[in-house]
Amino acid sequence: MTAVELLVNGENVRCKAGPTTRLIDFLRDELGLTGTKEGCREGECGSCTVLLDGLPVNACLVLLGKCDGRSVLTVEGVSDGTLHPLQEAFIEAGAVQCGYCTPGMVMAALGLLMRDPRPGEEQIRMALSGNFCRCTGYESIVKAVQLASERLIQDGP
Amino acid sequence: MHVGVRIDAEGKVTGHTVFPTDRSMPGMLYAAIRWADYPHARIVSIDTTAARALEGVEAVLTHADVPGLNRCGRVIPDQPVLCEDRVRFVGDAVACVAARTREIASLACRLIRVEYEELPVVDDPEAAACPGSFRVHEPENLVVHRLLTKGDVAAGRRRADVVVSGVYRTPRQMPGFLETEGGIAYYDTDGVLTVCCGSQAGHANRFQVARALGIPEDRIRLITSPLGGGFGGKDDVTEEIRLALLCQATGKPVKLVRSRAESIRAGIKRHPMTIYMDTGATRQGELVFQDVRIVADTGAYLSLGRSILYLAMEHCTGPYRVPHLKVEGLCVYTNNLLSGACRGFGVNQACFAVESQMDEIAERLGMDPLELRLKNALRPGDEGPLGQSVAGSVGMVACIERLRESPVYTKRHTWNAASTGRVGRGVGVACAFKCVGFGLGLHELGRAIIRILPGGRFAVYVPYEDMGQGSQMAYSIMAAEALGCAQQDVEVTVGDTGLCPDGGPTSASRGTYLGGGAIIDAASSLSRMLSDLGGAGRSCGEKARALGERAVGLTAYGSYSPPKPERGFDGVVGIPHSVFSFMAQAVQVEVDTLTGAVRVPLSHAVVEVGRVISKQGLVGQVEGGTVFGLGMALGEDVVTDKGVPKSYSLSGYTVPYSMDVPRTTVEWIDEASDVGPFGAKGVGELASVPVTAAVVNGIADACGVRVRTLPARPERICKLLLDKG
Repeated sequence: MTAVELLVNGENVRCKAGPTTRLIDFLRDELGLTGTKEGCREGECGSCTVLLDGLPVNACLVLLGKCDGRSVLTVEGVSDGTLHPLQEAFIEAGAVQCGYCTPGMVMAALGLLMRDPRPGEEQIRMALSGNFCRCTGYESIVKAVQLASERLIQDGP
Repeated sequence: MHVGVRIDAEGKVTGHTVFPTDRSMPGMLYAAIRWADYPHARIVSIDTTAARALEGVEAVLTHADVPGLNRCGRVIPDQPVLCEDRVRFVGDAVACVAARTREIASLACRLIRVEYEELPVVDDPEAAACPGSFRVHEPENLVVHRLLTKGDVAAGRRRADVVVSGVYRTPRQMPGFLETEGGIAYYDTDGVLTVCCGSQAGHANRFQVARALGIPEDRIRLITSPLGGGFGGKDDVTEEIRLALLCQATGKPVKLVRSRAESIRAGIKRHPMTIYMDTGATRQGELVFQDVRIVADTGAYLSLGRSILYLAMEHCTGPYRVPHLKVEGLCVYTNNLLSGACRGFGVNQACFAVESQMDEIAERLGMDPLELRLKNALRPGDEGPLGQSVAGSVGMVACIERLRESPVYTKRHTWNAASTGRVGRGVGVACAFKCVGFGLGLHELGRAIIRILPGGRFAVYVPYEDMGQGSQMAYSIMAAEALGCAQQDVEVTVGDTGLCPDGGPTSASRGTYLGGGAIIDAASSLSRMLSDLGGAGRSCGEKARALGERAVGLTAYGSYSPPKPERGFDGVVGIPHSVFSFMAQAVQVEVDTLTGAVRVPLSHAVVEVGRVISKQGLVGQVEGGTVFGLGMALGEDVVTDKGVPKSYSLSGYTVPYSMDVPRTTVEWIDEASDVGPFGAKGVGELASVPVTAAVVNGIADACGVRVRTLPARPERICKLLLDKG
């Protein structure tokens, strides 16, 4: 086991990582951040999407050792007491059904909006194309991201 | 009706909602399962010595450690909880382990030595149904065999000017919920064995746990909601019993979650069906008879296979007047993966067959496919497909008429004409109906409890789990309407046998219907109770406010018993049904005739589901259902070879993602039905039904090949195109 230091939702975390410790297990089991979901453990479903230095990754495919000195944002870190406009848009657009894909979708969409505040529909679909949702048919999720983009632009930086 | 707020959404977008598989407790053990090593084998011996000796292992259980009945299964308890002398499919469990870590638990499973004698693998349901087949179960593999008739099929055949015949094969679709099966079991402070495991049937599965553990049901509590998707696959028991057994054996909290591979291995799939269908019509396009044979592969155990077969038989006519009907149904045991409830419950398979034939009849007669459907559509006052009386609204005609005006349909010729070179473009249509609730002969009673809380608020307890369909939202809207209060003043609890009354499973598209009916009944009792106490006002809300503290704690019980047909068939339980929802759908399809790839850019759906309780909920169900049925049409199939899946991974299973789905427009005929709460029926399953056939009909329109074996994967389309020349 090797010492690793990283930022999780802005807080400094020191821990020990083995050569097989995955980020998803560390978040869920060690830190109790169960907002990051597990659906397949092979990078197919996107439920465990988190931002690593601002870019979306599947936490099931990232070794904890790879996160040394880096910053991880999970769904729990998106809102600081009041909902983020993206989260509000998900609720308003009806983009939430069973809710199990929702955290991963929110993180993938947040990663997109950070890179490109004005994405077109195709870019949104592309950015979410690694995230599986069985309930919604994706339509309302795409609309939620469009709505959030409009509002974030209106509200300014 | 109120606009409605999705009360469960905030916890889900922030990640704070705790799903059963998210839970953990101090001192918790991790469980693992030793699955069958063969799809069919006799167990010669099981040796757990090495596993028990492993440091950190706290329990190793085999069949000898099951105190009660070592069987599960909702209808017939035919599946061992832990196999004794034989394994019948790769998802059978031979032993289970609880240990201090996940790694120790799975290592211990590998250390269990199981000696087998392999048996012949029975994987072809039609061969399995023959008397000479090797038997998966005694006395025969043919577990259900029924013949239902209406009218005189021979006379119908004589009247027919055209008869179309076809054999249709449907895939082993998986429900595909994102949260796999599992959860945590523990003893609460009162010594009640609590199993927190996502499920659609808390009370029914509590009974199965009690039966296996040999303890009274009131010593067991199942917390089943929220769950990360169900779609039928969490209707029958999943891991509740093994969780409870391991907790009972160790006295400690135990966590058990199926990996995706385990879910593919052991979880419920949609019944693959082979449907032989002849449908006849007169020259004028009037349907005159249907002659059908359905063979359903239920896998190693029955689960809900009997009712699923019956629903396929009842819905094989489509939502049309068919005077003469003969339908034979066979449900067969094999060593294939376990089949059971999956969104649509047999209706999807039947719809694919009949709606394919409607298009073929239209082509033979030179009729417009929607006109043919309109001509034969069920109308109010018509008898149902099995000759039963139909209650409530019958909106098939309105759906078709509305669909006829949709852009996807009116611009179909323009879309056809836009075909270029290797790309063929077509439009496909299909109609569907789906029963709401249980059929004749099955106990069905919706239940709800309403309790008055301080501050003019109401607690509402309904059994029906929220698996994403939004039952809590629907209940809060209906309770607010029935009580005369704001939606925010209603606190809804679902999916907890410790708090909610037993109203049967969350299945059969009946959650809104039964739960809502029971809420209205409870509210009317509560209103009388409040008046008796001297509360003045027009609604429970006003009366409770008038009484203040005196009303707090007052509790009313409500129930709802939906209508059933008066008569059915001797010895057949669960059909016919009395209430149906209706839908018509059109899709644009594009086929690349070089690669066989199919794209579905646009879809238009019109539904008639009675009064709409939540528009957002309805649209979400139809958009999501469309994609569910699209997956069945184009890609989803757990392919097996001699009972063994060729892939245990999501990467080997083609589900639609955001780039693969159509833009769906949803319309509804907002007409109150004269049955159901506020005139509402149900939509959850129906939404997945017609699109599969619509896509297949669109493929035929686009490139002239008719797909009769699903899914319509590129290689299949290419083969058909090659055969056509």
